[in-house]
Amino acid sequence: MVSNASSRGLSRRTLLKGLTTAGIGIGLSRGLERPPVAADAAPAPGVPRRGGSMNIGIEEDLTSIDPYKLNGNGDLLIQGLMSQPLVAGNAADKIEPVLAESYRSESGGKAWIFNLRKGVKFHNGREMTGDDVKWSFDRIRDRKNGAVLSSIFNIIDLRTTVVDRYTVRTDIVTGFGAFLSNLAQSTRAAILAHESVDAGGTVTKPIGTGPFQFVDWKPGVQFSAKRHDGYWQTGADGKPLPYIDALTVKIVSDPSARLNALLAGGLDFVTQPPVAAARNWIDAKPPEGIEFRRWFYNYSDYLSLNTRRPPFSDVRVRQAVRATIDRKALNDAVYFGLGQVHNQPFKTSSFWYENIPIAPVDLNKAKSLMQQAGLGKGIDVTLAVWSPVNDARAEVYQAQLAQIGMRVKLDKHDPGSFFALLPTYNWEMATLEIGTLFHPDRPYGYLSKDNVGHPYVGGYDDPRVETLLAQGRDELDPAKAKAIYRQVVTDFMAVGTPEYHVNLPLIDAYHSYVQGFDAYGRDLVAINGQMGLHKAWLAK
Amino acid sequence: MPILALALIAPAVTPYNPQTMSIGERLQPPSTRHLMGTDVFGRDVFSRVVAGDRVSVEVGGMSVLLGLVAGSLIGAVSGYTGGLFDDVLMRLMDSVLAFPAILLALVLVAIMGQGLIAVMTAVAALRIPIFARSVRGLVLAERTRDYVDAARCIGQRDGRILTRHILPNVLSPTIVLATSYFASGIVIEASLSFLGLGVVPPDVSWGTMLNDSLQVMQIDPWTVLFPAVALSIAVLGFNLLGDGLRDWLDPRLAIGLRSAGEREQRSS
Repeated sequence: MVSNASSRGLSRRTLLKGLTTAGIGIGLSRGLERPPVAADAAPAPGVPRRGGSMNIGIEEDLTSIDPYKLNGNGDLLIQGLMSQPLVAGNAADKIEPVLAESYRSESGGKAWIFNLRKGVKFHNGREMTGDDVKWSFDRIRDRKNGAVLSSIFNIIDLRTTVVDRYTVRTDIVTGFGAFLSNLAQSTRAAILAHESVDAGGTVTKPIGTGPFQFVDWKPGVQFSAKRHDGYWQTGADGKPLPYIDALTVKIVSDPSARLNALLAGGLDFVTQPPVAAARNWIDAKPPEGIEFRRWFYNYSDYLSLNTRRPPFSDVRVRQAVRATIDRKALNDAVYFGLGQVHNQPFKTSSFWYENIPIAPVDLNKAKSLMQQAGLGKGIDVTLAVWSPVNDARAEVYQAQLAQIGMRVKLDKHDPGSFFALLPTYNWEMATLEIGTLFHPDRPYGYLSKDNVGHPYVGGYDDPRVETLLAQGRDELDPAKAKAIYRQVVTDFMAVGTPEYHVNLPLIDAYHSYVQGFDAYGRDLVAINGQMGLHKAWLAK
Repeated sequence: MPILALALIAPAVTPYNPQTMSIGERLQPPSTRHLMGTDVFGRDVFSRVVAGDRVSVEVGGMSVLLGLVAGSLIGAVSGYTGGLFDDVLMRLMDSVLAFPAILLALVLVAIMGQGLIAVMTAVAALRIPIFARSVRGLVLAERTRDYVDAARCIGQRDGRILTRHILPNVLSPTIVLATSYFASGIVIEASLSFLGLGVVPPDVSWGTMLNDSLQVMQIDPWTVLFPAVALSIAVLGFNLLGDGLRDWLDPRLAIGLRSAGEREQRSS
């Protein structure tokens, strides 16, 4: 039989062998190929050099090209390349000027006057003025444009007046203390040129003031940008930043694939490589020629329990969950110990972090609470999961809660169905994440019944917390505001939802020839312009 | 056969609960304490490989059985009845067959939701047209045989002719076919679970084990090695079982082999 087959010239085995060899060959050649990088002759070490292009791999794509619709990680990473706000939070969560040179409040925070930075150019070469600020804020407020901050701008009744070419006044009726932090939410309140929108009012090509300008976006594949020659920040050589000429941001959703592409040379820089690899680099050392950075910003996971339906309408069951979840084990299992265990959405180094001890794991107490709630024999519950992003975390919750008789069934969703499910309250537990925080009003504001994020915290209902939230939102003195929010944190901790467990680690990995890069936020260019890829250069 | 046996006695031979996490013992290499090491959550890989075997056999077996019963029924009735009824049913089967198996499985699981039952049903649904087409062809060949005419002459009804005379004659090749699709059912289940659309934790599948190991496979290769080897052995084993059954049950093949042997003897 075998001799017959081989005598036919091209056997199936030979054909398969040939195809496999050809496939591997093509794959290798494609994996190793890199577009040529045009750069100047090598300068002295450590001295920034200009030119060249970078290929970057990130985990998620943009959800919209409109910076006011910023929602996901892809938006956070990319939009800050192109657009900037008047003010932004720094690494310590203090608000500082960006496109505004300075600002002040009047009438107890009811009016804010912004003095604009002079000579800031949009990507189309036109100078940014007070008219652009008014156009941008009015567009955000107009509900038909779908801006994330639209509801907040309407609640605070934001009215913008152009005082002169470089001065803008905004008047609000409430939320005085949290106002600047709302403007600092990445590009959700960025200043855009009105030429960014088409006749129908849709943003088709974002024209901002950021260091990179839009070139092309192929959804799900890649985003391209080139340097903004008229950018307002200057480099060490006194010329405008950025140093590099162009960026291609490729969407590579699998962490291992991103890392492999980096190691093979197809990418210069990747966000969020596998945490296991980063752990190994910390314990041993990274591969030759690879650098990495790990840092934290206010980016936390949390477990939400639906207080509007059994079994979590019973506070004892929520407290039982609280006494069961082992944060350290969760951090070790899912983030290889690289996260930062905490009990509130702010990183421990943030000004807004409240020094309240983390509740210890106490399984006996948890079991006793379950007994008292009449659930001594255990109960079946469902955990809604944004899959696959939060699958591992959900598995750990499932295993830990099994210890007190909670048989957790995972209900996996894509982002669309997950966020459609939450407002229906037709769920029992949900695992979520929250970030982009510069003021407690954003995460804790969800506890208010009027907040659009109220379902995310399980329909929490406490009149005392509502009052405290209103006070905190209006308090201009950060120290007094912090004292108010301490009571809020203490209150929601006592009733067991929402439960914040780990401040998620942020990791970037890149080739050693990428120099001058530093980061503190989620963005590729920090929203305050102080760190990021616009300050990086290619030393090769 | 060892794979089938292991699936039957799985709970008795697993040294640890395959679902119990022990974070302090995560990513331990193979040792006498953990024969195949531990995974990212500190679970015993050997216990999970054995538990995964059970899931694979369940999915492979049940999906093939469901597909075999439903497909054979459709194929037999269609082939025996013929005419427009046959045409319509077969075009329907052809349209299902036109979809790539894994794509169709993904769609079905997306509609039905995740879990073991959904995966079994999805894989079974993929098999129905294959068994229907195969059984129909065999029935078409059988229904013109003399013994069928004889049964008609003595006044037997169509249902009885089909079930008592024709089906027993098409059974052997259909069983052989079913065995060969057992392995492919296991692969589809593992693929769906690998993609996060199959078996839902805490149930264990080789596919979910491979997925869990993705980010540590370069540093801790045992986490991916053992489930991958188990999957390969299972697929190879069930394919060999299919070949063996075919050799045993298909008389034409046996005659062919004998003839080939005789020719070889003559030529030497």
